[in-house]
Amino acid sequence: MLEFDEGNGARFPRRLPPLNRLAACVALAAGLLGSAPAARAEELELSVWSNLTTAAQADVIQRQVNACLKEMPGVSAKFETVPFGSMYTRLITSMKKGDVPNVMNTLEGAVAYLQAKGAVVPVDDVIDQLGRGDFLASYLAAVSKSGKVWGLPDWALHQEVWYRKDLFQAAGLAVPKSWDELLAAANKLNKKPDQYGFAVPMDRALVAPQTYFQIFYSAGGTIFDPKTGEYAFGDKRAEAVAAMKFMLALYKEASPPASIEWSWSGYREAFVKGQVAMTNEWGAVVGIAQEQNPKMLDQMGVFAFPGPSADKPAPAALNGGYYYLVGKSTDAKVAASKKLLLCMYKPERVAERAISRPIFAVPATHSAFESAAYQSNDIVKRFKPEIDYIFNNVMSHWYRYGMEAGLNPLAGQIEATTFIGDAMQNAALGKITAEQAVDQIDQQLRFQISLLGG
Amino acid sequence: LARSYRPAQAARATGRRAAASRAVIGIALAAPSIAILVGLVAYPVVDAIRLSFNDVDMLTDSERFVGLANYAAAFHDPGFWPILANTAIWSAGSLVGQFALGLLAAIIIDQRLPGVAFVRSILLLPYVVPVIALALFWRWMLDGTYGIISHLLQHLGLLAANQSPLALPSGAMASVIVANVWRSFPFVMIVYWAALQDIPQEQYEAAKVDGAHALQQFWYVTLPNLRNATVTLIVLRVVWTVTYFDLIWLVTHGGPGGATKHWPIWIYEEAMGSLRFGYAAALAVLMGAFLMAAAIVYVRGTQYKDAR
Repeated sequence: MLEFDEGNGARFPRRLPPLNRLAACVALAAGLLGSAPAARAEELELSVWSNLTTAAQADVIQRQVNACLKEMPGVSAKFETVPFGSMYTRLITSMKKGDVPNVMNTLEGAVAYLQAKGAVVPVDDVIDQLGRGDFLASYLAAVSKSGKVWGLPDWALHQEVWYRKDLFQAAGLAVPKSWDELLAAANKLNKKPDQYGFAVPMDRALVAPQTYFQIFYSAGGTIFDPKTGEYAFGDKRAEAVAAMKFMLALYKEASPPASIEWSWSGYREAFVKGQVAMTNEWGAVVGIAQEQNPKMLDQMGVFAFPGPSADKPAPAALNGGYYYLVGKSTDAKVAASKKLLLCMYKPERVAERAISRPIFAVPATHSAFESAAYQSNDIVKRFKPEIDYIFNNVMSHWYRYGMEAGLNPLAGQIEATTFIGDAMQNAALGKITAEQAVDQIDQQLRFQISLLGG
Repeated sequence: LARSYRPAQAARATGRRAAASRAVIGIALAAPSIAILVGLVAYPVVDAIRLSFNDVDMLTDSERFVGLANYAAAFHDPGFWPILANTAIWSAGSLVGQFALGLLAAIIIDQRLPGVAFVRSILLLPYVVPVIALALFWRWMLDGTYGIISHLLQHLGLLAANQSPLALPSGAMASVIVANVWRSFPFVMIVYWAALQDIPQEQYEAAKVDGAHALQQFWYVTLPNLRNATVTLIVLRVVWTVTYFDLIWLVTHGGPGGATKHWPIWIYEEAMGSLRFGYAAALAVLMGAFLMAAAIVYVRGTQYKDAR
């Protein structure tokens, strides 16, 4: 039916009636489509997602994926950055389609969510091949459940107090060892309205829970009992109220009033530009200072958030981590995903990912932390005392909210909802008391747990 | 007779064929639009109504019929009245501002003055700026430390040092209303401007002959002639304002302390935060039903008034 001419391949005979031409088009298209799977029969395409939308970090991951795939003939990858804000929506729709990403780089909350859905596979075999002892135990514990590990720790989100060394020295202040000392130091550093002692950001989405739980954990509180896994927030009401009261005192006495609605950029820029002398932070202030006020870099120091009394350090901080997880799929895709991760977990590659945003990201493996690739980075060298302090003191004892007893999808619910922020903001605005704020949080935590079937 | 009958019969048959052909072409041309409307509007609406009678568990993908339980829960939710009040304040404030500013701007650009075409283009800008840029722009101006508006308010003694309107419940609501008025008034302006151009000049001339001054001309000539445009605008703007989510979410996230949490944010938080899709669907259906009822009552009321 089709005529051929040299050089141009198939063309339609002029005599063909329109309907027959249409039928021929359909037949040709069907033929082409039909032949496509055959041509790609041996090609395995993995979907790789990362929540890291910062170009410096995403580019490194993509480059490493591509480099590793060169060692894996017949396997290709579709790399995609999925912003944290739309991650749960994307995960829900992908699960509905039965198309969970094969490899995903994300926070514990998403690991917990996908594990609860039965959408990921354990990665113990990968961890054992890489050497279990190489990973920081606290990061493995955070993504463990039912005796299995569901995500490969990559780098740490660590929260501590970043402070101005020059201002501390000028005021004759030592590093605070208790809440009272911290509040006193913050008050001493107040030079309102030009300078405030301590930033207490409370944006109702994400930032508020990070602020509150840092203080709550420093008081010895937990949402679940780390040993039994039982709900414990109600039993820890005294600690919860004390933490709320301390946070409110810090806000009222030493934080800019607008910080009630500050998100990350608000308090980080305030610190870097000298408006606040201390802030609870993940280390991103270093990168921001490099861009906006390099002179500040020499004045920045860190200390762990103190506990209520000087005789006992805070039992835990609110930390977190980024992990690589493997989505449930065909055996071939799961095997290829794990092979890809084995390649990406060579110490120099883990180090390279961490130094794509130095200080903010600290490797969660000993080998990467100690590697020349990591230690030779200029910023790492410049902040070596601070990084060593973080690696040894802040990254060893920490919880993610709701995951004190291992993986729990409640962490995702806390990240996706705003009830903690609402309670904190209303308490800060004087609309409710600290006790009422804690009771609201308690009630909502129980409600969210009930929604999760707990 | 037979000879005269045949051509008439043939003509009728030809006419029927032509009509049938036109109908087929009409259906064929309308089919893509119908398919899109069914797929993207009718199906989601019907499915949302179905979901609103179910308890949907996203963790297990299971659905359980619960009848009117989601609706009952919505009315008993402690957030119901505060959120309804926020929605009413947000909508009323936005609409009053949009209509007042839109009408004023329409009258200005309707004048035959030098440079008015340029002014017209400038006034349209807020409507074409992407909402994310607009939200960042307002957040920046309202920043407690560096924002020009906050600085001015602090200078006037209306705000404490380093305070932002966004950190105060009433200030946050006022801020998002002002931002929304600024964003949306150009639409009202353009519709009113088109209506103003349709007003016969003779009516103004007659009013002048009767001794009407400018305000009386506006009251007795301009406003009555804008009635039809206003009826349409009110229906459209009410629906768009009540359901407007992006701007308020990007500027305040519904804070501080839920002070700017309106109905669409409530729906979003229940669906995407707590993953309560059945409950969120019930909230969405309630909002849709309220808007539809309000529109019907308003349009019927207007028609009844016209008939009288």
